[in-house]
Amino acid sequence: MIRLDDVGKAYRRGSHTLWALRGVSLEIPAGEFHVVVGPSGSGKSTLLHLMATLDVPTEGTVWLDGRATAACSDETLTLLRRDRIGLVFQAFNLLPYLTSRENVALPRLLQRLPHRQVRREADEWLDAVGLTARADHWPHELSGGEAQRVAIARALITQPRLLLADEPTGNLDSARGLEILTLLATLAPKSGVTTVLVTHSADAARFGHRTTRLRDGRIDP
Amino acid sequence: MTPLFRYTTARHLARAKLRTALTMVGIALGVALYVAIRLCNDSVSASFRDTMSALSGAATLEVVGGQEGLDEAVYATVAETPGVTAVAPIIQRTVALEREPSVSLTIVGIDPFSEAAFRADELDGGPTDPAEPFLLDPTAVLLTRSFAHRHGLAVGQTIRVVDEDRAVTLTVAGLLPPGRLARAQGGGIALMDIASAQWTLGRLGTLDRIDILTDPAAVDTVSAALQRRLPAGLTLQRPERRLAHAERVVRSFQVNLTALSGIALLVGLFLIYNTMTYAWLRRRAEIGLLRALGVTRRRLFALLAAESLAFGAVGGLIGVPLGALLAWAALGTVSRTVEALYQGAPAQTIALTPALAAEGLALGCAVAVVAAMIPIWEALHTVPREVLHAGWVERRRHLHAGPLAVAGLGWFALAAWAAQAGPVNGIPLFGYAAALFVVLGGTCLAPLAGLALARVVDPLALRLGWVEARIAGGTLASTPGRTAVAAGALMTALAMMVSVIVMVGSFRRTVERWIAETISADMFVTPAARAAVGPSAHFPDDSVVTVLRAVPGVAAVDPYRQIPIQYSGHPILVSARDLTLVAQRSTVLFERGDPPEMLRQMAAGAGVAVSEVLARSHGLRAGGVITLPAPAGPVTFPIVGVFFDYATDGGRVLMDRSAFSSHWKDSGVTAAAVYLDPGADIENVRTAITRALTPLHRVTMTSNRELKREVLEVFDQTFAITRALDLVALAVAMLGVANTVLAIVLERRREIGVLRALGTTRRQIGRIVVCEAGLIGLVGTVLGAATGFGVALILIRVVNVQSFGWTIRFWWGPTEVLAAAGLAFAAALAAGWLPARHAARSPLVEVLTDE
Repeated sequence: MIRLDDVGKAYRRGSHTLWALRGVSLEIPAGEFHVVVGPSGSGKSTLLHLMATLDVPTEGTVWLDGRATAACSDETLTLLRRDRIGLVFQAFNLLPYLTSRENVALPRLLQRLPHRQVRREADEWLDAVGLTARADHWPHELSGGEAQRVAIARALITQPRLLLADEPTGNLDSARGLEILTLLATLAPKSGVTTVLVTHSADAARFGHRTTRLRDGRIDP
Repeated sequence: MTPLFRYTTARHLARAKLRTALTMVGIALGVALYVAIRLCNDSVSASFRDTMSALSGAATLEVVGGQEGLDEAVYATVAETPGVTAVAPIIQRTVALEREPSVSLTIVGIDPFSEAAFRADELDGGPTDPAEPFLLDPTAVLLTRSFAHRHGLAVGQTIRVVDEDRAVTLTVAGLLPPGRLARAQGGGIALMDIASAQWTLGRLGTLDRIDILTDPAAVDTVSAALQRRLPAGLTLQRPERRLAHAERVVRSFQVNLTALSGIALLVGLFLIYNTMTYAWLRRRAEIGLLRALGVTRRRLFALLAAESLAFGAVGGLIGVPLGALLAWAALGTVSRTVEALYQGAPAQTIALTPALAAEGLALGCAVAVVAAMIPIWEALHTVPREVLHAGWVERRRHLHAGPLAVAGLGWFALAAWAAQAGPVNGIPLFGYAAALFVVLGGTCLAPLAGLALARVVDPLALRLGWVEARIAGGTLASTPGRTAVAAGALMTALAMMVSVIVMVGSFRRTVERWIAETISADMFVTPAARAAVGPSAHFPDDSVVTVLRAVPGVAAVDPYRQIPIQYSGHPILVSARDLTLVAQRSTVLFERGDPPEMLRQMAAGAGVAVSEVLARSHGLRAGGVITLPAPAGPVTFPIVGVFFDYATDGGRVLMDRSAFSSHWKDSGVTAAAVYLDPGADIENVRTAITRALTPLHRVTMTSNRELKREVLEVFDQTFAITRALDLVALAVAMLGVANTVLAIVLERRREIGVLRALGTTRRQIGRIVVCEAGLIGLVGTVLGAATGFGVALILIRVVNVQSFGWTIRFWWGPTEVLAAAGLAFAAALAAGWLPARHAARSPLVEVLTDE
C-alpha cells in the first residue's frame, strides 16, 4: 500500500540544514493498522505529512499504491488526498461554520456527489461514531471527544485506502483518548482501510498490528 | 520611534506589505480626490478674483450702467463729486476671434492718462506718450504675451474679431508687460485707448463703467453723495461686490464637488477601520501579551494610534501630490463647466499651497485616526485573557447585528428629520447630513444583511452541490463584523454612484422634456460672437429680425432678448419674447394654469412670469407682484404665473417684448427664433438667410435639433467630473474589499490548509475565496443600490431644491443603476482575485503545523 525508500526530509534554517527525517525505509501493507511512536521532535509528524502527500521528501521516494508521490503534480496529489486518503488531526480541525453533519459530508461534497446521497452517507458515519444525536450541532457545541469522532467520520466517509491519524488523542483526556483509539481500532478493520497512527504515547502501540519507533529522525531498531 | 513601536507595529507593517499598501493607497486616493477638487475650486475662484481685481485695480467704488452702458456725461458728474480723488472711464466688451469663433478676447478701453491711480503696476512703462501709435491708431490694441503667443500674433500684425455680429479689424500695437492685468481672464485681455474703443466698437458717447478712487475711510460718505447726483438706472457699488456675486453663483457647484470628494474619504474611512480591526485581530495574542506584560492602556493606545497615524501620514504624503496631478487633469473640465454655466474666466493654473498640502496630510491622518478609534477602543477595553481567545470579537459583533440594524433604522429616522430642515447660509448642510445619515443607516444594516444572505446561501448551495458557496456562506455568517465593514465600504461607493446616476438621470430627463416642449422654433439665429462671449452677445437692434422676416420660407420670427439685472442684490435675467407668437407656436411650462391663455394675458399687458428658482428664493408667487429696476426707475409688475426654467440657477423674469421695450428702451435681440413655413427646406432657408444678412451681420445659425443637442452636451459636460469622482470612490471601495478578503484569507490560513489537506484543489480554494468576495459584494451591492435611491431622493428633493431651486422629476434609471450595480459586484469579484491567488498558494505543511 505505502512504501518509503530511504526517505529524508530537510529544512533550511538560515545558513544550515536541519534534517527532520533521514534514511527512513518502511513498507505498510494494505489493511494493516500501523502505529508510529516517538517523542516530540522525533520526526513522526514529518513522516505522516510525507505519507499524506502534504509534503515531498528531500531525498528517497514515497510510494503510494505504486506511484512515487514526488513525481505527481499538485493536482494529482490533491485528488489523491481527496479520494484515497483520510486525515485525522490532533486539533480536530472542524470547520467552525459547518454543523457536525456538514463537516462529515465535506469531503464527499468536494467530490461533487449529490447532496441527498452525501447527507445519507454522513448520517451513516455519524451513527457509526455514535453521534447521530449531535448531527446538527456546531463544532463549538461539541466536547473534544465528540469533535474528534466527527473528524474520524469525516476522514472515513470517502472510504479511503489510507487513514492517517496525527496524535488524535493529543488534545483529549486519557479516558476520551482511549475511546478514540478504540473507535479507530474498531472502524479501521471494518472498512478495510490501511491505518497509520502517529502518537507519542507508547500505550497506543497495543492497538496496532505493528509499531515503528522513531528517534531523532531515524527508525529506532 | 519608540522601541515598542519599532519592535511591534513597524515589523507588522513591513511583514503585511500587501495589505499595508492597499490601505495606504486607499487613503491616498481619498486625500488625492479631496485635494484635487479643492485645487480646482481654488483655481476657479482665484481666476475670478484675479480677473476682477486686475480689471478694477485700486478702485474703491464703481458706477456701472445697464446693458447698453452709461452716458459718458456721467463721468464729469462723478469727477466733480466732493471726495472723489480720481476717476477712470472704462469700456469693456468681449469679442470673438473671427478665425477661432470659440476664443474670446475681452477688450478693455481705458484712458491711459487716468490710469496711473488705478492700475499703475500693470501699465508701468505703458503708453502715455501722445505720439504712441496706441493713442493715434483707432484700431490699436495691446495684447498679453500669452495670448499673442497662443494665437501666433506679433506687434504690427492685424487681428480680426467679431463684435456681436460685426467684424472688426484690430492692430497689435504692443504687448502688455507681465502683471495681474496680463493674467486676468486667462490672458484673453486686450487694452485699447478709450476713444479708439468707443469709435471701433460703435460705442460713441457711452461708457460701461466708471472706476472711482476715494479715501478708503470716506467711501460711505462719497457713495452717499454720488447716489444723490447719479441719474436713475445706474448702479453704484464697491468692486468687491461683483466678485462676491461671481463667487456666490459658483459656490453651489463647488460645494457639490467638495461633498462628492468627501465620499471617497468616507469610503477610505471604512478601509482604515477595516485594516485597524484586522491589525488588532491578527495581533490579539500579542496585544494580550503586551497587556499581560504590564503595558498600560495609555501606552497601548499611543502605539495603536501611532500605527493608524502612520497609515494616514503615508497615505496623505502620496495623496497630496497625486491630488495635484489629478487637478491638472481635471482643471480643464471644471473650468469649462464653470465657463459654460457661469461665464467665468478660464482657470489655468493649479497652485498647491503649503497650507493645502498640510490640510490634505492632516485630513489623511485624521481619517486614519478617527477610523481606528473603535478598533483601538475594543483592543484596550478587553480583559487580556479574553483577547487571547480567538473569535471573541466576531462573537461580540455577531451579537451586535440586531441592535446595529435597529441603530440603522435610527439613522434613517434622523435622515428624515434632517431632510426637513432648511439651508444654512444658502448651503444645504442638513441635506448633505441627511444623505450621510442614510449611508450610515445602510452601513448599520450590513451585518444583519450578511447573516440573512448566509442563511439563504447555505441551504441553497448545499442543495445545488456548490460546496464552495456553502463554505463562503459559512465564512460570511461566522465573520459578520469584518465582512460588514467591507460591504459597507462597497455600499457607500455604490450608493454614491446610484444616487448620482439617479439624480443626474432625473435631471437630464427633466431637462430633455423641458427643451422638447419649449424649444419649438426651427432655427435660431444669434450673433457670431455668442460662441465665445456667451449669452450676453446680442444684435444691437431688431433690424436683423426685419431682414429675417422677409426671407422666403420664414413664417415667423420671435425676437428673443435676455439681459442680466440685479434683483434684491442677486443677479437674475429678464427675458423678453413675442408671447403672442410663443402662445401660437411654442409653450412655456408653468407650475399651474393654462399656458396659452397665460401667455396671451401677458402679451396683453397683464404682467410677467417668474421662474420657480426666483419664486422659491424670493418668496414670489402667482398673483403677487415683482418690482424690477428698469433704466427709468423701479417698475412693478403683477406676476401671472411661475414657470419651470432649467437654463439658469439665478432666476428669470419672462415678459412680452412690448413691455420690455417700453420700460428698458432696448431694441436688442439676443437670439432670433425662426419658424419656417410648412414644407420649407431648412438648408435652403439657411442659405437664403446667409445671403440676406451678409456682409452686414456675422451670425451663427443653429437648427432646432442642433440646439437641443448643444444643451444636452453642456449638461453632460457639467456632470462629467461627477461621474469621474464616482469611479474613484468605487476604486477605493474595491481596495477595501480586496483588503478585507485578503485579511480573511490570512486569518483563515489554517482552515484553508485543512481544506487543502482534505483534498480541496487550488482551483476550488480560489473559487471559495472569490465566492466570499462575491457574497460581500452582493451585500454591498444590494444595500448600496437601495441606499443610493434614498440618497438620490435627498439630492433631488432637498439638496437640489435648496442649492438651485429646480423641480426635478424622479427617474429610477433601471438600466444605468443595474449597470452600476453590476460594476460594483464585478469590482468585488475582481477584488477577490488577489486574495484567492494568495490562498491557493499557501504552503500546506507550514500552515497546518502553525499552531
